[in-house]
Amino acid sequence: MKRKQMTLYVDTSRCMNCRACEVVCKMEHDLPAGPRYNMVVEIEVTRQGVDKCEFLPTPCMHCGDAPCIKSCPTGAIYKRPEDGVVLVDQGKCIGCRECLWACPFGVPQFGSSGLMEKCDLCQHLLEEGEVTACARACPAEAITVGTVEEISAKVRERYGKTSRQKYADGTQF
Amino acid sequence: MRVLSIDREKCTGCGICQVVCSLTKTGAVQPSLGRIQVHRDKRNLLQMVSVCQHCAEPACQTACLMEGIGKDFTSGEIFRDLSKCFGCGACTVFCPISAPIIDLKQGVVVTCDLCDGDPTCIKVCPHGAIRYGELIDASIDKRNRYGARFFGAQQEGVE
Repeated sequence: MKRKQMTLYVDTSRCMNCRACEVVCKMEHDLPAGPRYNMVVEIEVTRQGVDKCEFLPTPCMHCGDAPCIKSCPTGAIYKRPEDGVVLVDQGKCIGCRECLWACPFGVPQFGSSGLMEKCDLCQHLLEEGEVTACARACPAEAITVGTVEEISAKVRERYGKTSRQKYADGTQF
Repeated sequence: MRVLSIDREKCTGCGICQVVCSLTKTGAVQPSLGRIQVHRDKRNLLQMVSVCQHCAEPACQTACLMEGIGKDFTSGEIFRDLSKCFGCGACTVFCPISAPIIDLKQGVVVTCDLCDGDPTCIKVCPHGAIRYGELIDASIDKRNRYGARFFGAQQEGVE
């Protein structure tokens, strides 16, 4: 029985491509060159005739019905029932990379051992009641960690503030 | 570590890789002996391509009775000693994607040997769905594509 689903929320309008989340994630998990649990993607888009760059950090989404779990032949990937975090048991993993080909976001990473490793939502920090390293380091508060209900409430609050501000400025409506 | 991978969004299941692989490896067009195999699900119109992924802890190595399968720890490549192989097919059963191919004429089981670092199948794929490269590059590509989808950008502008 799933009581809650922990996840990371990324506000792309706030992200400014400083890559602090990438750096701090590598430091927190003590990663060598190669695997990147979190990566900021830069995409060039044209919005209303103006060319601009948009940024999107891509940590693990901790999917509800994760394709990596379905694709794993050894059952090494599992979704923890108490908080819905998708984790990998490296003792069972054989490093066949099926999860990487199945994942639509390219999240599974393969280090020097060749076994799959991925964003674990900083379990050691969450157990102590802290937030994940990427959410802690983000200077623009673009990354938020919490249950989906908490995140939903926070996003609504932000939306309410901005729309009230725009109404006061007369830029919209 | 460089491996062959199939982009499942681009692959149409035409099977030309299978044909060309058998031609280069056996000298004759025998698609069933291609080291890369296209499995078609005709009911759901889906296809899945299986090719040796040179796993980190290979199940085929554990399965082999004759200890004829080895892993090169510098290149990460899996190699087979075909003089020891007698074609029992245990590796085919253990492999999660059934990549080993039983060659009945020679009585051995063979897998993809990456054509000594220059795979032929990537040159013939009409959709560019097969890639041979580092895993982190494949991951970065996937992330970029997801970002492009997310922002609704033109695909050709990014790739």
